[in-house]
Amino acid sequence: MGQSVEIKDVWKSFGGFDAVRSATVKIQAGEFLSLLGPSGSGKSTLLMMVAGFLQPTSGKILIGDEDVTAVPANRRGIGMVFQKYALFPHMTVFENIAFPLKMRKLRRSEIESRVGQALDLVKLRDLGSRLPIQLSGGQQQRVAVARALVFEPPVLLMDEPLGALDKKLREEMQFEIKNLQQSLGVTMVYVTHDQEEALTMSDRVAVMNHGEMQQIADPKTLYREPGSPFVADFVGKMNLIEVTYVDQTASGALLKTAGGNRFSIQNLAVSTPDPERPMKIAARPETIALSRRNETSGTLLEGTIHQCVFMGSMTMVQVIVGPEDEVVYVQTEADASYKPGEVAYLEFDGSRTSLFAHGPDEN
Amino acid sequence: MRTSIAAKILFASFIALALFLMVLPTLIVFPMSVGTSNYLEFPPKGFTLDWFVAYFGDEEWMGATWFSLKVACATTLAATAIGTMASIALVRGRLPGKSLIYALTLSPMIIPHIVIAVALYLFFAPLRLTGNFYGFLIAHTLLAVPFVVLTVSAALQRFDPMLELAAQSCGANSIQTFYHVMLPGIVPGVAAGAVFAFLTSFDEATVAFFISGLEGKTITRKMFEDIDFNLTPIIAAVSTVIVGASLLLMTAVHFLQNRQRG
Amino acid sequence: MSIKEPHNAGRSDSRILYGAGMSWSLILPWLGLLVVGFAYPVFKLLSGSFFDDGFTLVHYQRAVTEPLYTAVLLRTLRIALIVTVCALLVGYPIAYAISKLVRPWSMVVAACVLIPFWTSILVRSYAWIVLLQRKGLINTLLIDLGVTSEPLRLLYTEFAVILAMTHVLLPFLILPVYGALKTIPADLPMAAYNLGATPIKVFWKVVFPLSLPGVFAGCLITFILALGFYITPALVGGPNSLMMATLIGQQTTQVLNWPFAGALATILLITTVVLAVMFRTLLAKNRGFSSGI
Repeated sequence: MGQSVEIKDVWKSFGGFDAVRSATVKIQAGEFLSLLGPSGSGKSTLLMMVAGFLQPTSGKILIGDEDVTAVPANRRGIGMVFQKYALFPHMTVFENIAFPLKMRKLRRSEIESRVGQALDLVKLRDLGSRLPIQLSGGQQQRVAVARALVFEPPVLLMDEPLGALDKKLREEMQFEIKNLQQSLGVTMVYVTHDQEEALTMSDRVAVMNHGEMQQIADPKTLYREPGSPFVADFVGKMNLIEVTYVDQTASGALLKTAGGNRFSIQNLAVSTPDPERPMKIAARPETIALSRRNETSGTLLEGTIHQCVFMGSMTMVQVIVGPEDEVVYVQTEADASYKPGEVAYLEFDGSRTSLFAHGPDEN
Repeated sequence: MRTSIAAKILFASFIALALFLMVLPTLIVFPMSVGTSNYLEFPPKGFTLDWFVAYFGDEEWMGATWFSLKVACATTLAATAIGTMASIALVRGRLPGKSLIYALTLSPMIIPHIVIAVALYLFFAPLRLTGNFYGFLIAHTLLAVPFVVLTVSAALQRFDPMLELAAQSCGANSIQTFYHVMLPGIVPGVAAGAVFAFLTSFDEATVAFFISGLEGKTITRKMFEDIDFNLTPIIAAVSTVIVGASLLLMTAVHFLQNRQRG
Repeated sequence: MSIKEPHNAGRSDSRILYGAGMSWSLILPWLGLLVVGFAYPVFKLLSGSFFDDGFTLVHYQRAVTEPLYTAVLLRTLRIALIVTVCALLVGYPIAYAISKLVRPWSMVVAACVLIPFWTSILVRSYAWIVLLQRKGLINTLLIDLGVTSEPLRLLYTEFAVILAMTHVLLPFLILPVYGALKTIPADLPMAAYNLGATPIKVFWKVVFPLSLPGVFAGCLITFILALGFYITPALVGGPNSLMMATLIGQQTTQVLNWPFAGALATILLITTVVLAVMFRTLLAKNRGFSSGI
């Protein structure tokens, strides 16, 4: 059964540079938490510290109730699956999976039965005598999972484990790993830069950028109520438009784009109406309605159609608003037929649009 | 293309001639060692194995050969162990001034051996370490370790450090990680380093010339003396034995190096 | 530390698996040997050259003023230079051939380079004595071809020293040049042909300039090794081709003038170290030397 993992105000600096800044999160026993972020965001560094391969510069890491910050990696009892699997090339599949048990000095018969179970678990029953090099990428992945699970660790860490697989296999493995994790009840910390993967697999996702945890939330909240422009932009497709507040009218908040176009949004909550302060609105392509005529009572944002991309179940329309060719993506039904150059109007849904103060420290 | 056929033939024959001259001195010792004539003559006449018999029957030659082999084997063990440890520290360890230590490590390869030879001679003589097994062991290990460090650190650099992390996450401590995971991965490099160490010691002549004594004398020193003073065909027989053994070892290294790439 | 480097910092840190204590204990035996068997004896030899009842430069003065010794110094430099040029003229085409040929021919040529490399230096010195003596292969050949009627005196001359040393040092030049040639992308010469260059122009304007780092590195290591050569010159050379290393040896074991031997060793060492530092800088730009064939 899983154990909780607590990361308490963990910092890591490399020669004056802070790779991880004040990371704090409590992962419940049996929870699936993803660390999501672009490369260099500090997510792998944080995972390495949980695994015990790196020492935090300051802060604490607890597994269950035990402070393991000073415990070396080989005594933490955490399972880990590495980016390129890190299978021992000179050992067979059986020997690879038996290795953690051998290190724990289990009896030979015990090792054999448990490796057998682990092989069954990952559906590789007949491949025990193969060498890793004789396996496909997906099979190697499974061996790595079996090796990490065979000693029944309370916590399992995975560092972009599916990065090397092709798309179809990756999706298959996502479900398998998720099922395995749930049925074993093991606590999972999963590092990925693929936001789709994080959303489909996790109970909660911690989004990291520049060493900081920007937001920790369940996938739905993360998608619908991003806590910062970075999260909004990184998770899913998001339009970020720079605006300033003008006035509150009958048809909602009246805003002005950087190019001077005015438009209003119904039901948009503006906490600090300050005409001086630049802001950003964040709206997903599927929350914006597109029309050829401005037929509502409010003022809609006017734009010019740039391009329509047919994507199977829908069509993505790129609309240029403002003089500086800012593109807004709008998702329409599959057979929408807009032509480049046509004038169109964008209607935002205030309840599904976020507003961010455009601070000086954001990029 | 406009390269004329004549130019190509000219280039090819130049290469062929150069290569022939390169291998000729190695190959010539084979016929020399079976010629019947007592003095230097080429091409040799007749066929005899007398020179080999003389070599294997001569006490002084055999003494020098065994002494060289003993020193070379001990050097191989010492240099391989010391060099592998140093490589691990240099590639995977936390050390200040690594590049300086690395440069120092390789310096015995570049500093003229005559300087090392004379320095060791003057250092060893008052300590009665000339002509001494341990004196040779120190000197040859010093000369052989750089070769071990070169091959082993190259192997370590090719070796995926993630495998070591994986071993640790499986519960292995540093020693278990080294023994079960790292060593099997770099063993071709270590073995190649060991062969280099052996040949470095066995073929070493400059330092051996100075620190040999009447009792402890290497085969290279014995050959030097005989070439300098009485040029007998026994030298050709000795050379044949040495070349044959070197070629075998060289082939072994070649296969070892190819194995790690596969 | 600049802020731009965090990524490398993080990555290089993950290669470090052993802490300072472990690292020091792993490298300590080697450092101990370096100090006891190398640094201390060499330091003693060198420092001895400055003392003769108090500090003195008399041995250095002697080395650079007495005609006998200046002749040896200059001859050593001259022979090393000639050997380097000869090795380049013969070695470059061979390296070029290895880089152009396909298997198994490239392997055959490479083996021809490596076999002498692995042959004991004494065996090779002996072989050159056999080849160069009055009734040796070379003289027999020259007489048969009618070039000369009397056997030439080849052995124990400067010619013999240069020939044998070039032979010994050729692989040290060929390997780095080959390493540099191998790293030239194949499409560069192709592109030059495509643009209308003749093969000779392609070689001189594209291939040769790109191989220069390897040429410099190879020439330097050859020159360095030639400066300190002992065995071969001592066996195939005569009194008229005495070189630095042999002189140092004589001063140590026969004349027993150790401070003077130390002074000569210091001169040789400083020359070598200066060249070696240059070599390292070049090697950093061109990592071909250690690559196997």
